Amino acid sequence: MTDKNRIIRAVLLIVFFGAVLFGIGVIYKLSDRVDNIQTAEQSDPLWIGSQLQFEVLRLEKELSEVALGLKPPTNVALRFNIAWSRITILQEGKLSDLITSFGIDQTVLSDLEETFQTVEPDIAEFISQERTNDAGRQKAAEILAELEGYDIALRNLLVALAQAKNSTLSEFRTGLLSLSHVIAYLGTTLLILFGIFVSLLLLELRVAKKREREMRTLAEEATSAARMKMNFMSVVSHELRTPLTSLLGGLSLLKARVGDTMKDQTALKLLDVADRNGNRLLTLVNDILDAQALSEGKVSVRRETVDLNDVVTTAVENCQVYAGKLGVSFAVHTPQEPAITLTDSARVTQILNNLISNAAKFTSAGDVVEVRLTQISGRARIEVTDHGIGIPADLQPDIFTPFHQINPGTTGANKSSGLGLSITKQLVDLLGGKVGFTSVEGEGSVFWIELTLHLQSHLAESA
Amino acid sequence: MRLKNFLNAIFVAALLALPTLGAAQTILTVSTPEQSVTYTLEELLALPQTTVVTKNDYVDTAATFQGPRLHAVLKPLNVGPDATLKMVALNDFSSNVPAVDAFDYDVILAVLRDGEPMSVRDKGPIWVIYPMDDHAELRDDSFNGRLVWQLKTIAVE
Repeated sequence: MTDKNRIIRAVLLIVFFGAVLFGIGVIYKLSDRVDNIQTAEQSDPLWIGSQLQFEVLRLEKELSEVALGLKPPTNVALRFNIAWSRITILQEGKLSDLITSFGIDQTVLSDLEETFQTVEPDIAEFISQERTNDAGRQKAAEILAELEGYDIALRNLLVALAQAKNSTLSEFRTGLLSLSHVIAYLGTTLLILFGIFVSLLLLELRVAKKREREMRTLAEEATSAARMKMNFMSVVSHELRTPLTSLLGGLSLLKARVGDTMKDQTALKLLDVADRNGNRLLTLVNDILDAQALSEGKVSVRRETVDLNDVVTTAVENCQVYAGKLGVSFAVHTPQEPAITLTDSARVTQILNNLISNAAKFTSAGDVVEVRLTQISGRARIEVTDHGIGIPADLQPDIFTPFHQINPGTTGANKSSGLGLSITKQLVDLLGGKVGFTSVEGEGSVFWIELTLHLQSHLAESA
Repeated sequence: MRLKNFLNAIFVAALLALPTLGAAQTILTVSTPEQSVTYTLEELLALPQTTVVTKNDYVDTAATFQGPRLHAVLKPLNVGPDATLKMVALNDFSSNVPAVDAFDYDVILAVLRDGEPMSVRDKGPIWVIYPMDDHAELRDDSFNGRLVWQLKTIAVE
């Protein structure tokens, strides 16, 4: 398909190029011909030739009047000079080129000039004569005799010029006619080419449209598949939560009732295992529901004035039991002054719970996880530092994407959904804050969030 | 005797003066219905000169033409650009030229070609020259007929 297209395009291009060259040639030829005819018209050699004949006749008339004694010879020289100028005009410039190109015998011109040269001294004599004497009349008659015969020769030259001009004109007309045919062919060719181009374009357009439609369908399918998966998960989770809560409630009641009386330690341990795993399952289900709500934008933020000191303390307290089981303790550093901000304390607590429980989960038993709240130029920064396994450098870029976890197979008992950090990231974004981390594999990680502080003065103003 | 001598002297003086008179011949007449001005070759050469180097259909190679601007002989007669000039040649050929050409271009009344006066035989004594090489539009067909040679009179209409 593409090869075929390419061949078609190449052929079209070659044909088009050829047609353009052809057109240029035609136009060039046409303008050449038009130039020719223009030159012929501009300096019409026929007219200028007739002027020569006319001036020679006027000179002869003048001379014959002088010969007859009817006129003084004063004007003879002027007529002679004018007639001579007509010869030089035909021998100079474009006219000379034109007559040569016509291939006309020009000997009459050179002969006439020669004759003029021979009679020139006689003409010069007339200038000084006030009146005509017999000698003058005689001379005039002699000059007349010299000029005899040129009338017919000049007429022949004029006829030749007229014929040459006519043949040039008819040649031009024929050429014009053939050129007009050629131009018609050219026009047809161009029209056909244009048609081919348009159809090719339409073809291409159709292919592109089809491809686009396919792509869109694919994309739609992909997104709807993802949505369906998420929906399925959320429905399943939702359906799981209710019985799970009942199970956990039942378990804790059972534990309270038999905990004191039952002597079978193994049975008690089994109850504990069931309770712990039930709680993990509940956390997982809650995470999935949170992630779904976030991805659909269903999470709303309820902002209120919060002291982040309290939030940190609460979050640490929430994780105390969980951490205690893992043998991890906390060291909390908070500043003396309150860190007031306008935010959703429940969400911030959730974020911190995530980070702190992660830290507890990934650090080694007996370690101290540090939670530090600081204020830097109008922002509060909360850092959670652990000394656990850390995050390998190649995995760091993906840490906030959903269902992502370090060594999901080897973390064993600490397995979780892998949604925690993704939810954290989305929540922090929702609150207009920043989240980040630095980590060295084998040494531990520092996860931090930053939230904009609401200064005391602002609060006073708004109050 | 004295008188005869005196007459002789006058005759000789007249003879001597004759060539001068001949040279001071009027070669151009510029006329309006009200008045007319005549020029000799010397008078034309005494006017501010303009040189035009150009080729036209009637010369083989580009030539240097010199003479007063056409405008210079129209100005004393208060000829405006709307007028039409009837250029008449020695052979009574005439050509109508719009006066506006003299205002738009350096149209000259060439009296010298390559530094030499032009004889009647060589399209002299005056040849109206358009600076065709300097202005492409002047190479048009219609301007060819305005290159009047052997110019004798300019009649303003």
